[in-house]
Amino acid sequence: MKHSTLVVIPARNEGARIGAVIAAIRRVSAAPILVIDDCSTDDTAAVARGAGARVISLPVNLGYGAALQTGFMVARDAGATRVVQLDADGQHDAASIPDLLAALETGDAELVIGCRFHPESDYRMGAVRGAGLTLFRVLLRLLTGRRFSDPTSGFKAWSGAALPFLTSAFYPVDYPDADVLHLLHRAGFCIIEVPARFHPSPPGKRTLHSGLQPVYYVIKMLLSLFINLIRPVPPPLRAGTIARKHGNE
Amino acid sequence: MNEFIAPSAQQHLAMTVVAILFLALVIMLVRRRVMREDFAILWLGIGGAILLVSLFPDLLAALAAVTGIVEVRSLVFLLGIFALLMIALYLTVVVTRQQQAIIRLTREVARLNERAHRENDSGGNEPV
Repeated sequence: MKHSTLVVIPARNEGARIGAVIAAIRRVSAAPILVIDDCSTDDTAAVARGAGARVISLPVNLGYGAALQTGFMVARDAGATRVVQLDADGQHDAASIPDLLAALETGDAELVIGCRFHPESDYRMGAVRGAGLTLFRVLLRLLTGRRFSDPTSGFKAWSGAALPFLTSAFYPVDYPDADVLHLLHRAGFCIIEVPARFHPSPPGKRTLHSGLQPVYYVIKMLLSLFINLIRPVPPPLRAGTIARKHGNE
Repeated sequence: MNEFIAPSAQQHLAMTVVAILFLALVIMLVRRRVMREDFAILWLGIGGAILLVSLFPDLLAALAAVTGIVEVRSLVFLLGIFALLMIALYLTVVVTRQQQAIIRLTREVARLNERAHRENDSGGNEPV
């Protein structure tokens, strides 16, 4: 069946890198590219437009999750059946995009996660970040019974079936990561991980992992994961409201 | 006269119950998505501190000894006032940020409206 794919890139002050990212995507995919410019103070929007992407500039800084969700909303309104999300800083190698999309087909999945940890990967992570990652792996294992090797990866390919949830008020815009995986798994979503190429974080970049943010992230994620256990299933995820991939669409 | 006046066992029980109810209230508010997780962390932290102190009364006495504050009651008031001050300060920062966002959004909406009117009137061939 014919698919309509949208590539969504949330971006903030990545004027120096976004051009290369868009060019790399163009080399492997003809899908339209949407950059969500999260109130950048540099020329991110102009560079992205110049490189051929569509750009939505948010007038107020909303953060990664909300910017990403904006992209999902555009995808939903455009009737996209496939959405690829990746970061604007070049960490996610666009060459892996076809692998992610292929896995959506063959794996019959609603979500494919591009995973940076696999035998061929030379990706190395610092000790503190590694510890955090291990914590979430263990928690997800406990809560879902399955293994996720890269629960915080922002390199994903979604099936359109996930869009009603992703665009709803129930999507946690404050650092959407392990808690989203937990919710999706509980709702019966088919999630698979596929090896993907990652590049190291660019040097000197102010990342999420600066200052007290990692501490806040961990506490917030723990709270989110456990509160979800006592919350009712979000309406967009209830059985019967998800248009599964099987059969004719 | 200065002496350690520690709360009685009854008072500690009451404090424990109140702390637990407070924590339950915060969790309920977050569960219903009435309160964001970041504020919840703040209130859970405070509720947790109250619970800790009510379960382990000696903690307060130890803290009083360290700070040189003789009456535990004064210490409780001091900590409580300080905590509320910090929370008020933090909320002021949040409100400031939101006001700035509202100003920018209002301006953006106004400009978009004006552009839409202009394009309606002139058939769409005006420069921005």
